[in-house]
Amino acid sequence: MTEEMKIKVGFGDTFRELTVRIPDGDIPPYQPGDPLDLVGTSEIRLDAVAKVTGTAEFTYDRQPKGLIYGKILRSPHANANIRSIDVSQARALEGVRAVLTTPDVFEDSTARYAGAEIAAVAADSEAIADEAVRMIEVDYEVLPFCVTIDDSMAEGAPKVGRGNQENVDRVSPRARRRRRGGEINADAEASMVARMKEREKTVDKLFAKSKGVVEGEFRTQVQTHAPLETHGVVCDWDGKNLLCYGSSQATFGFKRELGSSRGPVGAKDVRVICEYVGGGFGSKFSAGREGVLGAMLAREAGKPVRLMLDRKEEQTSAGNRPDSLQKLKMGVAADGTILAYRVRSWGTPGTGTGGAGAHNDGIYNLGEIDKVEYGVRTNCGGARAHRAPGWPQGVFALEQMMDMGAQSVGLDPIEFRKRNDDHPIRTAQYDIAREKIGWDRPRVRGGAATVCRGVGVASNLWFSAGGRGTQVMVRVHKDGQVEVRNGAQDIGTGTRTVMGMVAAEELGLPLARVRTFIGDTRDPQGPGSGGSTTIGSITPAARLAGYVAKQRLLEVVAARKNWPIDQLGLRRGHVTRSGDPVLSFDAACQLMEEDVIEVLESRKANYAGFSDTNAGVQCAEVEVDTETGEVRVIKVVAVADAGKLINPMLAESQVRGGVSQGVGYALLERRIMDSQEGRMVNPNLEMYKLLGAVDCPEIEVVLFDVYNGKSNTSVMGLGEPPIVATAAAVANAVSDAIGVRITEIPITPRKVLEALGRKGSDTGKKGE
Amino acid sequence: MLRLPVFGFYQPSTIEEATRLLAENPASTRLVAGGTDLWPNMKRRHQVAETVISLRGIAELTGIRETSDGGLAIGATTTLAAIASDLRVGESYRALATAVNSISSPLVRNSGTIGGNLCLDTRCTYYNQNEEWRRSIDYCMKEVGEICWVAPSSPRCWAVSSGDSVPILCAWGAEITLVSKDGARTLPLAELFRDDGIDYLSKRPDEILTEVRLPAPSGERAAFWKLRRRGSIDFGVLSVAAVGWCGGETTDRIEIWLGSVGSTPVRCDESIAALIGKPIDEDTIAEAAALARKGEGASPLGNTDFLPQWRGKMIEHYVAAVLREMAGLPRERLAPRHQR
Ligand SMILES: Cc1cc2nc3c(=O)[nH]c(=O)nc-3n(C[C@H](O)[C@H](O)[C@H](O)COP(=O)(O)OP(=O)(O)OC[C@H]3O[C@@H](n4cnc5c(N)ncnc54)[C@H](O)[C@@H]3O)c2cc1C
Ligand code: SF4
Repeated sequence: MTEEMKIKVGFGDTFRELTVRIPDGDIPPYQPGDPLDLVGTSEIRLDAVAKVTGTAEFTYDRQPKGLIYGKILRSPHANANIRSIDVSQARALEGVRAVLTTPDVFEDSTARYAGAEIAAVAADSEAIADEAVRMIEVDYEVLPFCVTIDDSMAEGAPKVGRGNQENVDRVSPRARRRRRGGEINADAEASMVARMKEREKTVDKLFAKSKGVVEGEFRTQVQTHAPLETHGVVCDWDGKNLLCYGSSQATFGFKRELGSSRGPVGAKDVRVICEYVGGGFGSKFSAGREGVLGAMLAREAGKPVRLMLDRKEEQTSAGNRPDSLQKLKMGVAADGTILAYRVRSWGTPGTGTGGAGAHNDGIYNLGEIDKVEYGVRTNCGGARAHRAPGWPQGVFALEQMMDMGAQSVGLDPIEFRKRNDDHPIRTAQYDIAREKIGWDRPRVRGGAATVCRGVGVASNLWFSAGGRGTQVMVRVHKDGQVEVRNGAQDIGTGTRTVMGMVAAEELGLPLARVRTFIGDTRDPQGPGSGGSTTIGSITPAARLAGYVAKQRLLEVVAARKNWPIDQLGLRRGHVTRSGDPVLSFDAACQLMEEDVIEVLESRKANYAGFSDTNAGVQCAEVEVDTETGEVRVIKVVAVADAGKLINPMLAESQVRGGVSQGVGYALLERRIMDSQEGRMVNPNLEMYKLLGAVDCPEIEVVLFDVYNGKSNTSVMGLGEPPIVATAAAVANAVSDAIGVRITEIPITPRKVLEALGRKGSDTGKKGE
Repeated sequence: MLRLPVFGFYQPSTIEEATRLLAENPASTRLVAGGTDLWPNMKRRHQVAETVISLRGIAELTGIRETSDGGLAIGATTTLAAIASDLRVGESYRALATAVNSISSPLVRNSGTIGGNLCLDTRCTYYNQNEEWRRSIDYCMKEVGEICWVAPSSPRCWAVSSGDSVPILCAWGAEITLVSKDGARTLPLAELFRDDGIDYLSKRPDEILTEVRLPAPSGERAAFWKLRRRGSIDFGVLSVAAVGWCGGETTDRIEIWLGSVGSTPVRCDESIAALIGKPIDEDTIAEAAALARKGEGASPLGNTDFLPQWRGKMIEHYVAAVLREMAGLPRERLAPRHQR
């Protein structure tokens, strides 16, 4: 059963009516003009004080009684097979409580990158664990390796994989296989290849018709997540049941993984606790091998074990954003319409081939698209989802093509984008970004002086209304206490705060009056923090639970006071009757006969909504020294849309975080592999350069408050989208400043000087 | 990351007591001041010690005072933050404050000291890694290994002298005092350093650096620039300091020093010679800057951040920038962030 109703959707002062089907039991979304006391205000995040005073307990801080310490032995070789492992000495060392090996636990006798797990030890102190790990003797069959995408793609390159795994695999369009990992279905493949050829021809024809045709080859680096809290767990068993404190962005994911009867841990019941997590950025969905080993060491030792990665392990083995090599071609009609677009791209996710795609064919209307994508195996630590997986690298290339396309038909870059964009929100954002960055201000640009300035633009897109599968519990106690509970984690985005805000709004209470509980799988089911869907999944359930709890409380009041229920409401700490406060919230609770009103509500399905995607435009201004090649980002304007803004300050923080990480991606961050030894050269935060406060540009955030109407809170997630456009905008700005295109990030002084050296011979405009 | 190993720890309250303790077994004893270099190095097992003597309990080692000849004496354990915020330093030795302020972050400057900065261990990409990383390449010459990974055929270690206060203090002609159980000696700061990545100080293991002294100001102008990847935290890959004394139109005396370009601070002899007796202007600056790379010991190798070729090229640009700033000419260069 669903209820059909008319809602208003839109933003600014332009709203339209939309007929939507509200799922049974749900309440209609916030509407423009609704009297809201909390929602839309910049409440200080609930955990701010705990975090800055150090009372917040992260996984690292957990110290169950009798805690001992786990440590992993990792492969020093980039490609090897394990012939045998002798753990007898380690086991004999005093203070060692448990020893495990990868071949035993994961049935994997390969070590395909320097840093691969080989064995693990738990001991009474970190020093003993460290000593024990050194005593393990491993007999390796050492094989040749490739640690860069170019090495791996070269003719006769050493094989990264095993068996029939080729170094390079076409991942899109994907080849049909007879079974998973099996042989390619030759017939299906032949017709696929024929279709691909057709597509190529169609696009070629359109290129021939185009006024401007531009081509470019772009490269992006491997970026590690580098969360301040490393990966790891503290595990404590009670018989067959496991209590796992985990640094996690998916508490329920950890629970499933460690409790799965098919997995190596197979705990009967798993409780995961993660009240605070020091960053995940997409790398903490799975407990990972470190989590599994931590749990198993604890079981074998019969004592709680802490297994947290050190910084070097974090940088080499806990995930990264894959690199990319993207060859693009674009055909543009005289009026600026993009007619056709070709993509050939490669990326390496480590020893596998999946998950290294680059989203370089989205956002704009790109005409006919001919895209083929490959995954490349290398003997490097594996990729994990990284804040907007695939997008920053794809958009870095796409947005440069957009600039080049604009130039090919003599259009202003922003005008050109508008011409190929029909997003209902983004089209309203361009001019704001343009004005705020001072796009049309005169600048010394194009390499005309020692120090030049330039501006660049890029866009982003996201799809994050959230979805079903989440429940929130609200409890109203007779003494007036209110609890709001969900078992998912708050990875720093402010989930705890917004969940409390929407529930408190319904109950007419200030935020400080509700207690929020998050990050414990004993509480109701919540989402993994992925795809920026957390807020969109949790808040509608929290709001609904708050609403239902309100109704239940008002029913009590109505019955006991003999007031007609339809005159009653809750606002500003009081029961209101026809709008006037008549009874304090606490006094109302006193009227309850039971001790507690307990409400558990589910996230209902999404409705049609205003837009399925949320949008953003960013402009960057840079300063470049054309003699030293140094680049400084002066300012970034980020116009962003997060649907209905629950808490503008938290939303703004997400944008600032994304932009900072994006600037670091554009200029600094880079995993460096040593091709002789096959190891990561900079597995620490001294040599792996994250953007620091001093280098952070001025960031001006412009937030759109969009009544999106996809759920009862109308919200769209904002964790990932802000990082998508930044590096691209910076790169375009650098090109504007020096008059020649930089096709590779990070943009280092060497690359700037090389580009300037190339100037004149190659302006990135070919085939015109 | 390993934890600190077990060692004996003393915190004497007089220099005399400290030198006596140190003399007992100088080879296996280490001094610590702020510990911002020593503790991480001990955790990573670059440096080992049976005994560590802290200098922080010795009151007379800390603080800044004016000397009888109108100069400034800075106690060895004076923190970098105290120096950067000292009014006399700000007034008469501003470029020193700039240099000190360019070191790491406020937190490190609050505990790091000037003595520790002058005695800072030399640095190298193959050396400043954790123990496990180094072990897997069998270490290098600076430790127990056989070869130098940066220059495999070289008989010596090229680890980089990285203390950022060094070039500017050398340029100012600072003097230091070293004290041991057997007495004190005074020497120009520049003589503290040796062109060897392993044995980089001429200080004997039984000596404590107690003080660094700056000469009285006499109308000189000075400037300091530091090149690095980010505007804070990062060590320099080049630092340039210049102090010039011009009585009239022309330069009477000038000192130009480079840091982080080799195992020792480098004096740009030829640049200096090219400027003496001449006015400082666009032309003489360009000429002097072009000669800066010839300074003996200026040999950027592949053991810091950035490519050595680029670092080499930057010497000229940065020397020019520093001299321009000294001469009051317009900047025309993207300035390091610590400049503000
Ligand atoms: C993240 C980070 C970034 C840094 N960045 C920079 C930078 O950019 N530039 C820079 O110059 N430095 C940098 N440093 C290094 C260091 O913090 C500073 O050089 C600081 O001044 C060292 O002083 P300290 O008192 O902490 O030295 P300590 O660690 O106490 O000592 C360093 C060495 O000097 C010896 N020593 C100390 N005092 C004396 C004395 N009075 N007599 C004899 N020997 C002594 C010690 O035995 C030890 O070998 C950085 C450090 C960190 C951790
Ligand atoms: S310069 Fe050579 S010997 Fe010295 S620390 Fe570096 S690798 Fe080792």
